[in-house]
Amino acid sequence: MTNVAVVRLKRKGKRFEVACYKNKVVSWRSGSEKDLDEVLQVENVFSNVSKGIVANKKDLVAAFGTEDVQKVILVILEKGELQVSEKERQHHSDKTYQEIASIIADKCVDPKTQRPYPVTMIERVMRETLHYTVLPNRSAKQQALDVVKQLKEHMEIQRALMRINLTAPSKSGKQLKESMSSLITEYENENFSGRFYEATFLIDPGRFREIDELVKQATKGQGSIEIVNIAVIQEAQERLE
Amino acid sequence: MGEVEAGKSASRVRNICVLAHVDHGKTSLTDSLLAASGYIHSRNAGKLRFLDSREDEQRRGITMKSSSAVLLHKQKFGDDEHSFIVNLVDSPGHVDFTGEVESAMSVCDGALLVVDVGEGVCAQTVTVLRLAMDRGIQPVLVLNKMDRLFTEFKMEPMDAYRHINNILEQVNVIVGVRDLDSIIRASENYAESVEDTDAVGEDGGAGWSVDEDEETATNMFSPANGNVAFASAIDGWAFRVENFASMYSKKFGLKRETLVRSLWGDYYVNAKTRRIVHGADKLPKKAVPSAAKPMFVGFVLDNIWKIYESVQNSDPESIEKRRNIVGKLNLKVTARDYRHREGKIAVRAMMNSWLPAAKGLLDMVVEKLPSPVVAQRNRLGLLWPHSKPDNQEGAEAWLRTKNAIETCDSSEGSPFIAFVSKMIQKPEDGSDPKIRQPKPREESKAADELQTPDTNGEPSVAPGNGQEQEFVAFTRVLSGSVKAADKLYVYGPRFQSGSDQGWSTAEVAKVVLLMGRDMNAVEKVSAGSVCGVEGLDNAVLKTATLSNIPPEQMLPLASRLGGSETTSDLVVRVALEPHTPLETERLQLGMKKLNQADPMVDTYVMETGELVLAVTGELHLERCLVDLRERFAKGVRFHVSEPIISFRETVSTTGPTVVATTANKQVSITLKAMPIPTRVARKLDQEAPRIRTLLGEAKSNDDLVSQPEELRKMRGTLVEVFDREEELFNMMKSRLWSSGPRSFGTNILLGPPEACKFPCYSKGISMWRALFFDYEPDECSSLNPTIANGIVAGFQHTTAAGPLCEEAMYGACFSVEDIHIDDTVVGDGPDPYGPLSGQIISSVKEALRNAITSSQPRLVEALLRVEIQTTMDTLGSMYKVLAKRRGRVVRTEIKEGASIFEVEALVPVTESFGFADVLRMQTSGQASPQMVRSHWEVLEQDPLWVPQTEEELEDWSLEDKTLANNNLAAKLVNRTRRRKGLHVVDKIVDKAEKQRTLKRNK
Repeated sequence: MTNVAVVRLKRKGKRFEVACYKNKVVSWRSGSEKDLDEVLQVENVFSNVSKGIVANKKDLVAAFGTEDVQKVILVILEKGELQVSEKERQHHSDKTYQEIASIIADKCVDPKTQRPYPVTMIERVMRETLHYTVLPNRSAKQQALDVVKQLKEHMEIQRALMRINLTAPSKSGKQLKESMSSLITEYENENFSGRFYEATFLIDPGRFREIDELVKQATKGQGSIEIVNIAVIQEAQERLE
Repeated sequence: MGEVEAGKSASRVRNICVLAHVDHGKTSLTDSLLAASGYIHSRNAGKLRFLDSREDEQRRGITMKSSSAVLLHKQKFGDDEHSFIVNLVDSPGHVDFTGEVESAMSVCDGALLVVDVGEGVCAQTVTVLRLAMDRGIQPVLVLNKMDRLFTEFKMEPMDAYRHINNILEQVNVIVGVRDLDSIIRASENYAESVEDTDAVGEDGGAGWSVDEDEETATNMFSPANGNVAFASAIDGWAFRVENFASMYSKKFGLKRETLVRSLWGDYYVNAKTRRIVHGADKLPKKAVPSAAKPMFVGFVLDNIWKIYESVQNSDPESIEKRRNIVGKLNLKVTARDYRHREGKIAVRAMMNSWLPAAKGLLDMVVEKLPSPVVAQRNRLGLLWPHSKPDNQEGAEAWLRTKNAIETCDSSEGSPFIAFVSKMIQKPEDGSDPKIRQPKPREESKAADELQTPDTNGEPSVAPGNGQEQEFVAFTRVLSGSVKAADKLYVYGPRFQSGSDQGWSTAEVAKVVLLMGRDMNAVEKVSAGSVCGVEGLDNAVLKTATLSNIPPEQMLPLASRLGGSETTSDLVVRVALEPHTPLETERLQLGMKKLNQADPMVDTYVMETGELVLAVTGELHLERCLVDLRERFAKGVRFHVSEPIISFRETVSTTGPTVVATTANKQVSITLKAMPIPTRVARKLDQEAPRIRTLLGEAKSNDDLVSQPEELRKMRGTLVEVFDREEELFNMMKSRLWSSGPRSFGTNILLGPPEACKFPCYSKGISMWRALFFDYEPDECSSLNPTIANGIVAGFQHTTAAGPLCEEAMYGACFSVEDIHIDDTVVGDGPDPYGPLSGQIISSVKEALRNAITSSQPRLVEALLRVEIQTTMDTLGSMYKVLAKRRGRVVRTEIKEGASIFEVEALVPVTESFGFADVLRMQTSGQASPQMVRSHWEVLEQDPLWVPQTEEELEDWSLEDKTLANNNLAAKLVNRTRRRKGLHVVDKIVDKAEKQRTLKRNK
């Protein structure tokens, strides 16, 4: 059977299948294809598409509680197992590829200049140097973190730091500073004077939760953390002179 | 050799550039001049294109970089023979390289304007002539390719005369229009100049234009004025009517002056009365028609035509004719040459010996173009626009400098002032023989035949700074003199008198004379000359003023000397990307060098990390890439792409309220979005960078107050735009919390109204408030900062990346309507949903995005302001191009006196790629745009709109209900989303049935 994509659903020990056009089921599921006729080859429910055996009415009622083929088809299309067609697979992997690259471009910088890398460059390195293949089952964000690790071997790249502002009662300030020192990348500014200890520092964005917890506990809810910059990058365009 | 000797007297120097439209024969013409000085063999002159030393220049046959040469010319004045030094600068003719032309002009005093008699006045002819006149450069006209009239167009002498007359008129119209302009301007300035006749004039124009008025008559091109030469560079001849006047005055015993006046124009010879009469009607009626020829035709053109005719055939009869001519004219041509079977060679030999090109042209240059002494006096106002300062000390320095420039003073002790018009990269094979590149064949021939000009000065030894210098500064010395090891002050274009920025010091490594690609070191160069100065690589970027006057007393040269505001012409932008990221730095360095070497290039690092190269046109781009690949970034593999276009997102109506509830249900925040008036948004956009620096320096509230002046000024400008937006302003007064993205932008966050039961506050918020309103005491202790900070952070997140395509927001106002806290739901122990601040950030972010999507989101695109000058004929096609590119004409103006239209239009950046080229092509080069980034503007189309009613479906095709192909805003959004790898509602296959059927056993 070529040119047919079968969507399969097992219920009550029975197999139900729908015959669809290739490369269409995913579009239907994502909502971009709204015309059912464009998706279905035959408006019928089969127990085996390749043998051409139409599903038994009794089985339909037993499994779906209705013998209305229309409704059953919709359920099968929505919940059934799917043969992903070639173009759909291709599309998915292309999209993920780009997504990974754009996540990296957003979140990482060149440590020397504190500027991001263009998406196209990261994509090229992934493709031509890393020969990276997208894993279909992992999210783009997870994969992006992996790719950054691998990229570090080939180029100067690091996650853009986050700049946060800490305000805490001054008595707990010193102790807080000590306990946080391992989590902080760089101190920018400190102010012990007055009732409050104030400090600005750069941290690895992955450490934010830890630090937040720590501050909460150490100051018993009196201290607070304010995010000044989500990603510290060199801002504004600059002339090369 | 007398070069240096002659150079000592500035009045014996001429600095000229050769200007013309592309392919009118500038470089060929310079060839024939070079041949006369013995640099190249005269047989090659006109073909070799000696000054096109780059490989791609030779291959394409056009000049891309201006280059210069020094010529020596001897001319008789009465009985004395004087030597003159002519510094000749060849310039490119293609419109992409107008910047090169400008830099060539800025070192010159005069110009040879070359016009192809076959083609007449072309677009670039007009441009360069105007540029020259704007800079006070005296032009003379050379009508080139005269041979074409005979060989190609087969014109009779009489037709040729009319044709030439036409072209002269065309050129004079350009001069005339400009004169008219300056007369109008002068009369406007008159009132001011009467008050202060002594002043040079603030704008540098008043003093100058008066001069010009007197000269109006002589500014016109006319052979009788001696400022028009007729030439054929390829055949190596050129003449002015003076040459013929001298010839005939001997023959007929007429006064030379009379002949000069009457050889051009409506003058006829009445053979009977032996009189020269003006106008054909004064001739006796009986005269045969052939006699009714203007003298120019009879005496000049006929003779030249005869020579050309004699070489049409090579039968014995023609040879005999040629022999006769050679005999009559007493030419020194060998029989072998004039008998040559190839007519081209014969005619070249005869004409070149009769009317040698170099003599004809250089005579004109020496006679008609000003020496540096004269030119610098005339152009003082343009070169150095400073009026006498009030204080005594300043006035002395002013006078000293003024005198030095005015008199072109090269004596010992006079201040040294020079202008660097561009940086030339040294030829590679000169500096390091190991990486010598194979020369193009033509060029190696040139090198063989080149007789290296000997110079007096021994090549001076460069001071041992050890660093290889890559550039030579192309310099015009205005006063004083320069030699190796001189320590100079270098003033950049941004230097202003009295300021302490924009200058540095440097030591001259070497002073050289430029000869095409060769450089000859000389000991010293004095005022009025053009030379190359080495050792300024690090001090000079593109243009600069060199001087030995310390910065306290320095009054800089006019900055426009170095060219117009270059950035506005740079309409082609591409992103360069190294193949491997490790080479980014090397590529950047290469781009820096390219920027230094080319007056018309700009290079940027964008916010996205892209390296952007901005150039004037496709051809220019090509050359820059060659330069980068072969020279500045050698060995770096890089890719060229269109730069990324960024958009903004905004909302167009006040939307419904949206509630953000944290995951633990503790806090719920009610929010809504509304648009900010355009005017306010635009102002905030303009001021953003300044405010960011202002606030960036201020780390806490106390600092902010410590620079109250700056702050107050900023506040003044900000509050001003709100004068008609009182409602919004009043709301801000009590509720303003923050602005975004990235801590300051065009979007505003309003806190909850006072009625809200849970007001909250934080440090960051009061900093924002201080920007607009008076400093308020820190209320931190009584309020809950976690919630406020969370909301602000969520707002910053959202404004940095909107819901449409993750682009930053523009001109949207978000207001917190209510905050509700329910502490009862929080149990003991750690919160299963993580810290509260994080929960608030994510829920606020989500809610704000929803608020945007439900308030009619719109895309905002950047617009370019485009200025186009064009003629009546091409106006139509220009509008067509504009319309196709979604351009909107904002102003059309017709220029007084000429049928030139000035059109100002707004074109979206999205549509601007290739715009300049298409426009040039469609208007046959008549219109070329100048583009400047203008502002952001909302694209009115709804990107989320989909046709729903029957009519809408009918209007748009029923087939394409997604409208992805019809809705422009949606298209742009989708394109951006796709580039970023975001989800796009997109069918993978459009028609299920139309997929290719696959065979089973393939």
